[in-house]
Amino acid sequence: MVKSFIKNIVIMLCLLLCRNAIAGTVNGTTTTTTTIAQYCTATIGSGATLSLAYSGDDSSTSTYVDIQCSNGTPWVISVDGGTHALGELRRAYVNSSGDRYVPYRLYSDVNGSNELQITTNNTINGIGVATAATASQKVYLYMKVLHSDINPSVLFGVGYYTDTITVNLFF
Amino acid sequence: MKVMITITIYLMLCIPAFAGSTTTNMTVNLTGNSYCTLNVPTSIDLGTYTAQPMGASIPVSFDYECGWSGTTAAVNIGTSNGTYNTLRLGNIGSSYLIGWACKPGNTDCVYSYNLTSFGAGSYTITGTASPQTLTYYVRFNGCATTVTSAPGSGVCEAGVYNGAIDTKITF
Repeated sequence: MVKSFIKNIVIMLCLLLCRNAIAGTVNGTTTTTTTIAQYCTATIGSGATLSLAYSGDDSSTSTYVDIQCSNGTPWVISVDGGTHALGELRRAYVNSSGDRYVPYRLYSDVNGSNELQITTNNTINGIGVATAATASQKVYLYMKVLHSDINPSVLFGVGYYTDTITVNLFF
Repeated sequence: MKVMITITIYLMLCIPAFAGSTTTNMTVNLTGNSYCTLNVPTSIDLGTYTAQPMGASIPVSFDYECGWSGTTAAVNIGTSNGTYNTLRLGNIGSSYLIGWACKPGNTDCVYSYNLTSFGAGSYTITGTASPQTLTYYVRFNGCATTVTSAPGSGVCEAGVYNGAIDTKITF
């Protein structure tokens, strides 16, 4: 006797959803582009004040401007005439029994051969050198009081004369 | 003389119509492992700067998905010598551009070890098994002469710096 069975298979799905705490990492990398433009900054050096005691003879002093310009960036420094100039001559001022002035001159070299005048020849040119290893460069300004500039007919007297000059850095 | 015999064979296909049933249980196991996927932007432009002031905070977003619901994962942003500390945004010679990344919400990205900034720390995300977007902030801080020096301790040379920001999710 042939016996046949038709099996109706009922599949009971037992869906066991296990949450395994498997550790792992995923990584990604974003490339970046950052641009540093040509730049310059200027700060007055430790000798920000040009101090000079004049006692009748030619006298000089100096200070410097710290310039930090990108390597290869051309720069120009200009110096104005201060607040009491007369013509091309800068003057320090004191109010002592009236307005009194002592003329002085600025130079870009220690020998006094390159005078920084007021309306012309009042610039210093250079090229930036700032790199990772070389931060800044010093630009010196030399001041002289020349006896020959003193007008003997003016009694300028003892006092503390001041002036303020503006140094501009262009790049 | 030929004798031809014809034999006819009949095949009878019997399909007994027995009725009945049997039940078999089949178990299906599906394992849901913890997982995260990560999709970071291919590249970003952090902008152009002069000198090395602290730059603006730049938002950077990436997409991720972590599962399962309620599980946590740790996000690290940045590269360093194995500690995921500062961002190395490239170098020109020995002028290394360095910044850092701040955790979501810190729109004014200021370095604070392992707090607002990533430092060696991480930001915890909670899995939802659905796509999410996370925004962190990048800030360029300055240059240094070595990759391990403090940002701003060196001078930035002008030019284009190409770097990378690594993103890691640990689950």
